[in-house]
Amino acid sequence: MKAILSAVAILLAVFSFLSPTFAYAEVELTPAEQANSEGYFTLRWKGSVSESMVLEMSTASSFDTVEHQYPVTRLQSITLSGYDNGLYHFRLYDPEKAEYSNAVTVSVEHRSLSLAIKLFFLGAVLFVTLVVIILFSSRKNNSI
Amino acid sequence: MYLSYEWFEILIYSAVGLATAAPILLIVLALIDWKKEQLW
Amino acid sequence: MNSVVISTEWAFTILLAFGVLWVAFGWWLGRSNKSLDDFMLAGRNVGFAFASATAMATWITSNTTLVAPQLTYQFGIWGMVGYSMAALGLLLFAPMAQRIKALMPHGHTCGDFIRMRYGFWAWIVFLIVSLFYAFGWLVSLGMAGGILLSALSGLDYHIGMTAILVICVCYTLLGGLKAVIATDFVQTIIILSGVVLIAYIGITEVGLDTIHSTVSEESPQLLNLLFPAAIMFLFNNVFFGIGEIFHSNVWWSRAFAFKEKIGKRAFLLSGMLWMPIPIVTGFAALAASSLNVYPPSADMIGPLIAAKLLGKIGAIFVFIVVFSALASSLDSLLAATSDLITKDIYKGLINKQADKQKLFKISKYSILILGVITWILCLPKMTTLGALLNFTGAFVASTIWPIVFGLYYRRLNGVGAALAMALGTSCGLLAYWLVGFYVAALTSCLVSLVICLFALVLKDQKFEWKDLQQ
Repeated sequence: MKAILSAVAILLAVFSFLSPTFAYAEVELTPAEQANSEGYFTLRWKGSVSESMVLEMSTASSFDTVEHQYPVTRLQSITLSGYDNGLYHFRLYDPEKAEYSNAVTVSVEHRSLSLAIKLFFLGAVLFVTLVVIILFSSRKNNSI
Repeated sequence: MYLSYEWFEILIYSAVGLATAAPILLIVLALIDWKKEQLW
Repeated sequence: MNSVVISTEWAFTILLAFGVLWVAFGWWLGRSNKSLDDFMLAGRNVGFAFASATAMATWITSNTTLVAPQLTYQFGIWGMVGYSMAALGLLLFAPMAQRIKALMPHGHTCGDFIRMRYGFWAWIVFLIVSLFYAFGWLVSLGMAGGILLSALSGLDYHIGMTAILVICVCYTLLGGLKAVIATDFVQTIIILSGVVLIAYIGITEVGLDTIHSTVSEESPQLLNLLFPAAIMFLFNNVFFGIGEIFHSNVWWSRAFAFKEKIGKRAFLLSGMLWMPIPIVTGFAALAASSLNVYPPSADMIGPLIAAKLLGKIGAIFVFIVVFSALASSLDSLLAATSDLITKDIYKGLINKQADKQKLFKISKYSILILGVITWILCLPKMTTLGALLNFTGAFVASTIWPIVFGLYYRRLNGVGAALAMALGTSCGLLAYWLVGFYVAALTSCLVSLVICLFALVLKDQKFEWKDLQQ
């Protein structure tokens, strides 16, 4: 089984070398734009990638300064987290072939803190009520 | 407001410490129950 | 980077070894099961150590081994601390477990309680909520098993999922609740040693200071104590956890099974021991940027980090820990849900005259049927981990107040309880779609409280506690 698979892989590699349509520029990063309110998001891509490929992040659409490079896996997606408010640009880069994929943007805008704190207090009040009722009742109703 | 290193360290070490004690405690309790023939 | 870290042969060997071990253990323990009470409730005489371990192990699920790192990766510090708050469900259930055992010394399921306390309609609503949740959890565990085993070893999703289901169904079938509790004890020890070992290696290999400084540099939001989405999700998650425990027969059957006067102490201890676990399993996710590991999807971060930290041996360890965590929840859920089907659906709706011997048989069939249904539902591998469970938050949180008031106050009537659960669930689901997942359980719990309070004011049922003792 393994032999067949590797034979297929070799054939594919040969074909990809011969035919220009298999070229790296085929790799397409998606979605082109996404808005996000938690600071974590997933980027996906189609097409095969090489071991050396990285995902570049920049806050400038020109990618003048690349702020971060992330290693990518063959699983065709990556999830990043911990982003602050702002607009971020991403593209895949293969240093061996010096080729880039399309660029995509992610805009992060966290939820409003005041709404979060209101929900937090609502939850806290409800929780304290529950704790008090359970503790009070189980003490009072020790015998049936 | 960000979690400082000191608090981060306290949080992680106390959690790991408790989690280390847990299996030991459970085994000791089981041995006691077993001695007293009260496992079931 | 390659996420497949242990060979398929190894994965098979481990699955086979543990499968044989658990099933043999289940058979050995099941030899003394003579009656329905032995099978369903382990003879109602479980001691303190086993009681604490089983409560803890059941609450350590794929949620703690997988979703804790996932939430830490997404929400940072609040993700793991928020997750550890789920221990509050166990802690608050402690006094209730004692009350349950005292009120219903001969009870079998939470369905029994709702039916006797609130009557037919509340019981029907409760069964719908309960079964929806049980299936959500069963399917998510089955899928988690398949996905995880495949992420760690390259084992085919369907084989991993089938293997874990078959093993759990077999030993639960052979040994009943006794097998579930005894395997839970062993599994707890394995899980705890495993997660602690991984944490130690994480701390020594990477260093807490490196983790902290890299995170503050690269993704400071994860250390932000005022992270809006995380603050929103905190209490919602707490109510979700409390609802899961208060309503589910998994916990009620334990309250019935534990020896008298043990329930309260056992649940308190299990809650306290459980609390640090999500932090221990979760904090590794913060090492992602230090280790330069970025997951394809958030739910894979835990296994990827562990594999990166420990290499092949570590991956084998993670494999065993995760397998144990999944099995310890899956077996409990199979046993408890089959009790619900046997006592509430079969005895309650289909064959009211069934005697105990008949029910004994039926409870075994229902474990088998549950296993098959879960397997069929897991086949298409539909949603990402946890998505299914998120959805059930609205359902379970609506049962918190009817159960608390029902256990302690004679006043609340059946109509009030039924409405509280039905409307609480509906409003929770609406909030889920209209606002977001982070308000579903909160809304459901709040609406259900308001309705219960109305019902308490409007009518006094004057329920007789001794009616529960039959």
